[in-house]
Amino acid sequence: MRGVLGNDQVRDGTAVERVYACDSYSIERHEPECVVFPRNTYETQLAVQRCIEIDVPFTARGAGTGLSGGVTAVKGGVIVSTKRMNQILEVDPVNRCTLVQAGVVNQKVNNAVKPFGLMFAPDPSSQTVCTIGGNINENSGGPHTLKYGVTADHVLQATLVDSRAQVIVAGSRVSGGPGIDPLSLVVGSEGTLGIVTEAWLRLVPMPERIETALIAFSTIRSAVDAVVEVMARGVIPAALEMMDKHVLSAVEKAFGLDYPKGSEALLLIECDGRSQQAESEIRSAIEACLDCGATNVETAGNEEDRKRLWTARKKGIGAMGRLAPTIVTHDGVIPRSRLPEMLEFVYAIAEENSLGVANIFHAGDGNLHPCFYFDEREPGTVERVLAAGEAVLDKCVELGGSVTGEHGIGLEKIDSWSKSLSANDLRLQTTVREAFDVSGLCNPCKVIPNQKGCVEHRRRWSGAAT
Amino acid sequence: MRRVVGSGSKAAFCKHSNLEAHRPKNTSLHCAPRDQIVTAGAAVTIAEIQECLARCGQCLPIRLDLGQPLGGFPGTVGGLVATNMPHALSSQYGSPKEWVLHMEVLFQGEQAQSGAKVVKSVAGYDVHKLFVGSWGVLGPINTVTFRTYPLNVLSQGEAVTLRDLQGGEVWILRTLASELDQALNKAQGVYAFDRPSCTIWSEMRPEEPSEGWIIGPAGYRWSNRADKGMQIQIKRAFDPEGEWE
Repeated sequence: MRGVLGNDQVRDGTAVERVYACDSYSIERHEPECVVFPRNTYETQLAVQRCIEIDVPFTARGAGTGLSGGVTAVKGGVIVSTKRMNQILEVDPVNRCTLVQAGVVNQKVNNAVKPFGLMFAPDPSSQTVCTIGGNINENSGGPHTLKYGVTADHVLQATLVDSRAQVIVAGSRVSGGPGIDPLSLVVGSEGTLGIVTEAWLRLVPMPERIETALIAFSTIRSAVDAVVEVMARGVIPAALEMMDKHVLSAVEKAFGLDYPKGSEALLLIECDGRSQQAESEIRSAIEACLDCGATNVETAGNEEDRKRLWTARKKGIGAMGRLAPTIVTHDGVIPRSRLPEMLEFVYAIAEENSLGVANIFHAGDGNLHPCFYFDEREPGTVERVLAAGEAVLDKCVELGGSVTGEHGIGLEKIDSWSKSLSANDLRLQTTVREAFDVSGLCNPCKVIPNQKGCVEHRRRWSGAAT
Repeated sequence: MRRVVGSGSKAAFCKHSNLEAHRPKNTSLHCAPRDQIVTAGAAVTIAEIQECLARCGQCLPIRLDLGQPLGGFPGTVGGLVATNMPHALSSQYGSPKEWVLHMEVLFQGEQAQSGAKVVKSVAGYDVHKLFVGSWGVLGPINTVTFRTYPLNVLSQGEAVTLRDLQGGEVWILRTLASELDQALNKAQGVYAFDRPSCTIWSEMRPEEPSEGWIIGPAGYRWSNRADKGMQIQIKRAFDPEGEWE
């Protein structure tokens, strides 16, 4: 690798191996042999070419904020970091798009296009550090996807180096229309079809007006009913988020904020667009909440208020460090109308397994993020967390939902996902993998077990963990 | 070889063919307004799905009141998805590809599913989205689950209709915003145009854009589309026997 890319772009050694052994899904670790830092598509191609020559797996990695182990080098080999591909190559305000390298941080794209009154809509909670390459590979969401859609709706074209070290381009700057669209596969492929190096992103106009309200409820049930009711009244808020009392108590401790006493849950509702539209939508949403028994409504009069109202949502997970030393955040989706039943289940399963659980999630999308908090030093706790997580995912499938709304399958959910597939469904998925990952070296053992060794590996890990 | 045929609403855009026709028959329709989704068989008409959704205050963002071109030449659900046609609300609500959440398709002779019947899911490859806009070449669609929208979106849109179709040919062009004015100046016999989505419907064949696509009587054609190789790879992987045209 040093011969191909130069000393400066290759790192190895114990410290590097430890740092790159996992992403934010830290339960499972595998040390890579080295990490390379190409600066562009060509250098990425050289690195992949070398991996193929010496038959070593390669795995692309952005900021490592992924929550399902998608960039863990399960079979060792080379981590291809995109961190030095950090240039915004072009901003085209007329055609409302921008060309960026894969390692550019989401927030930096937004900073660069803001002067043109434009924004890149996907806003995962990690947006101040996560990269565009990661967003594309994970098809990232965020609080505002309820109205604006996920990353798939905001990528026009991607350049990638495939598993044969060929540079391929998927998509077009002119969106929509006829023809098979290979970009649909690339977005959300979790780095298994190639290494994305550059992309044209779609930009949307920033809203003229943003109206934000934080609404308190004395029961979980009334808050959840309000979620369904808001949408039933024909309003699609830009964001509709829910936080339960456990999140609030953590945030109160961490930031000294006060929330209405006796609140079991808060809904954060944001409506945006043209002034009149945003105002009338937030009014309808608040009315819907009051009809469902809301006990307190606070609205933002200015940007500072708005930021304060968002504190619990934006910083809630971080604040949970106050509740216990270890937190595992889960991710599942259910049809919105089944939220009451699902939340009851989550609280019950936590109690059954003697775990703490806090819920902070995208209620409008029916996308749950139960956070189990615990002390992993207590013997048997990790096993109980895994059992509770699995029960939650099984329940999502039982209620007609999905095992992941944002975090991806990665390593974490291969088993729980494949359980929900028929043999034909799985064949549809493997057809894609086999068509594009010809060398079998591209991020092996993710999404679907694509090699004999993956099954062995799963057995080993499952055995160790349970 | 076989060809998937729906109600024939877009027949004017297909080459004449003597191939055996495969006609999807699934007319099941299930609206779940509280979950903001609807699941429909490929043979359900767009008019039927809109009528069913309207009763619960919802819709798909397709305007049937503005005439055929701006309604995307509405026929059946299968046709809507397979052709991914432009329409009057494209700029605000995207193309059908953005509303599709789950599909059941015929894959090498067997029914297979991809996606999830919820408004958000990132489980696995979005294989179903390959069928959207495929014009049937990967095989037939059996059912589609869409996300739905509030009924009031049907009063939106900035598309302009200049004249009615009167039996003439129809050509559709989409290009970059930076090239739209030039394309509009050169277009002849314009039926309608939609500035926000950079789409023009005309009677005469438009000049090929430097970037974008044209749909016309003989099918569609992209200019400078870079992913042709990947498209061919997908077609080969999904239909190795070349069963579907």
